[in-house]
Amino acid sequence: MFSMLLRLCFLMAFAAVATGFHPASAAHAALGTLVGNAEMATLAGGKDQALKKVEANVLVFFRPNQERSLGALRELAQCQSGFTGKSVHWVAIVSNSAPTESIAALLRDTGFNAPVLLDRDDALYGSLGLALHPVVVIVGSDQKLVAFEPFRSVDFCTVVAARIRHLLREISDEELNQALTPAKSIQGGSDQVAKRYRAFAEALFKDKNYDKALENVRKSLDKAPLLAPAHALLGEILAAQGNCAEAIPAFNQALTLDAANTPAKEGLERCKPVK
Amino acid sequence: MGFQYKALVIFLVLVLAPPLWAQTSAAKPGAAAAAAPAKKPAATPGPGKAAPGSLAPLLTKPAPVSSHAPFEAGDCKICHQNADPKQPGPVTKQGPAMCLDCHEEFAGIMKRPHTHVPARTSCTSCHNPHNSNSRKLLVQEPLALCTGCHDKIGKLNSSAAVPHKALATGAQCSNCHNPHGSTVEKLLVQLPFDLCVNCHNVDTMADAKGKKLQNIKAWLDKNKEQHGPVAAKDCSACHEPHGSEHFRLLTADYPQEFYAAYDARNYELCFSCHQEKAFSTAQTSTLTSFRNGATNLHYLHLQQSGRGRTCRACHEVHASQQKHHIREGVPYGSGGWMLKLFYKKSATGGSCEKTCHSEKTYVNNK
Repeated sequence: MFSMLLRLCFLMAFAAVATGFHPASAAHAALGTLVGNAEMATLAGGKDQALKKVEANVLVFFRPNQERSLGALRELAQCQSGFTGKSVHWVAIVSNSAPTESIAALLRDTGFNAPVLLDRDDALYGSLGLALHPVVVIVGSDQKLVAFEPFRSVDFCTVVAARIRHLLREISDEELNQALTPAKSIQGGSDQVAKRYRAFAEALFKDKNYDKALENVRKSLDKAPLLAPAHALLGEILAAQGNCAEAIPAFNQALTLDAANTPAKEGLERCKPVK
Repeated sequence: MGFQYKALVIFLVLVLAPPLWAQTSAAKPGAAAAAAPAKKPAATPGPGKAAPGSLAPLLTKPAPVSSHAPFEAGDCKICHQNADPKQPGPVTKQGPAMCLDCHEEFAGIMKRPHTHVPARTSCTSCHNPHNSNSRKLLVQEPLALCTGCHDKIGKLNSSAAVPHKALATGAQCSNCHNPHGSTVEKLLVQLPFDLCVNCHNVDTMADAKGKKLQNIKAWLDKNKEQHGPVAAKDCSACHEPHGSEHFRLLTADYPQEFYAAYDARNYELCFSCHQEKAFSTAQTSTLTSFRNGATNLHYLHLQQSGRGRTCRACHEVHASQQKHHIREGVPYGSGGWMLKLFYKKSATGGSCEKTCHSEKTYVNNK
């Protein structure tokens, strides 16, 4: 009885999509649309449904003899390994008009590991309003559309994995956004040159080359006056030169900028007058 | 330190201390015998040049373009065992560990998801730690340096019918790539679109033939219906930024004309994603939403002998104000006229009128 009810629900859902949704209205179905779960023939023989009772259904629409499908499936094969043992169902969907041998060869070549469903007359593809290959369609446990991700030449796996992980609630909205719009990979920040001068000065200081160390730590502070470690190093160099009178303000400045700066704390101790 | 004195020191270092060469050069990847003196010193470099693979300081005028601060200051001991420029001895650390002592920011850069193998293993693959005739101590100009290994890109660039100026100007490869590490694949500094609009944001840019190039940023700012790859910031889905055989650096064939007899090969670019059968199947209820019942209107427009409409007749490739990337109008004549298309979308289809033909309406479900 229960299974009959379940089937009826699936049929109703499919009918709702098939009759109520017309792909003319958008380039693809709107996110949140209920996806019909029609039974399809499998490449291996037999029949299966596209959607399973899992947190994330990942439907990969592809076509054989297409370079981008080859690239996408290769990347997704790498992507899959991060979801082993998780509530994720991967399925590859291809038009039933595609040559069977080519499909099998493509799957073999790419290492993409998923059951292959043969979409009769592109019915599911058409019902989702798709117009290209390859495309990943992510569907939640409620059978609603969560995301479309057509193949992209850069960061495809990163984006698909982030979409799935977001659905699995493994990453936050912010982390998903970071994956979709990664920050600019600048070299090292505006104070990188100042830090280099400080490090150079430290090396000279360790080598007891105090004059040059002083020259370079001052260059560092010219470029980044708020660099606490540079102020601390300035104090250390001055103290090593026996100039505690000037070292103390430098240590104090370092501690004002970073109260936890250990070299500054220790330097101040050393510069305390002996009682 | 005066220039003459420095030149003398460098000369003495090179002539009298061949083991130094061997030791600094040995930091190249795979050189296991880094600490051992080389049996045979490298050849004396020519004017302004280091011997191939050598990390020796440059000797002659003109003055090098960039110089490493410790070398410039004569502080050999920052990297070498001895302070004496005549006998600096071997370097005190091997590989990037030496450089990261001062270049602290690279520890963070190397934690990014995508890093360059030479940056992880040997900074001296690309940088001369003494001085160089290129900026940033690079052993060669960026394009020559990068294509020394990335030879396919080099060939693509040098043989391209349509070259990309970005590779020949400014920081060359580093205009778009961070050669150390990046959060974006292919060591891109940003996603392709964000990189492209850094330059393609002016009205004055032209191609090699002088034809004006679109101000992409301005166009996208006023046209919010974006083509999928544009929305995904993936310009390289359709454009080959290193050089191409096709106009506008396209990755494959795409007709430049408004009318063309249908030949699938002309649409190789579009069909690299879109299905060819969506345009060559006369009757369908699934392959396209541009259909009147089952009559495929894409087929109808494209498959006309001699005067088949190309994609550009109706669609904007980057972005449009209307759905389905339908363009506002079509150019007519050489006077810059734009004839409006008057496309209207409806819940179940749409209509077009007055420009190419009298009003025609299509409905998907008849």
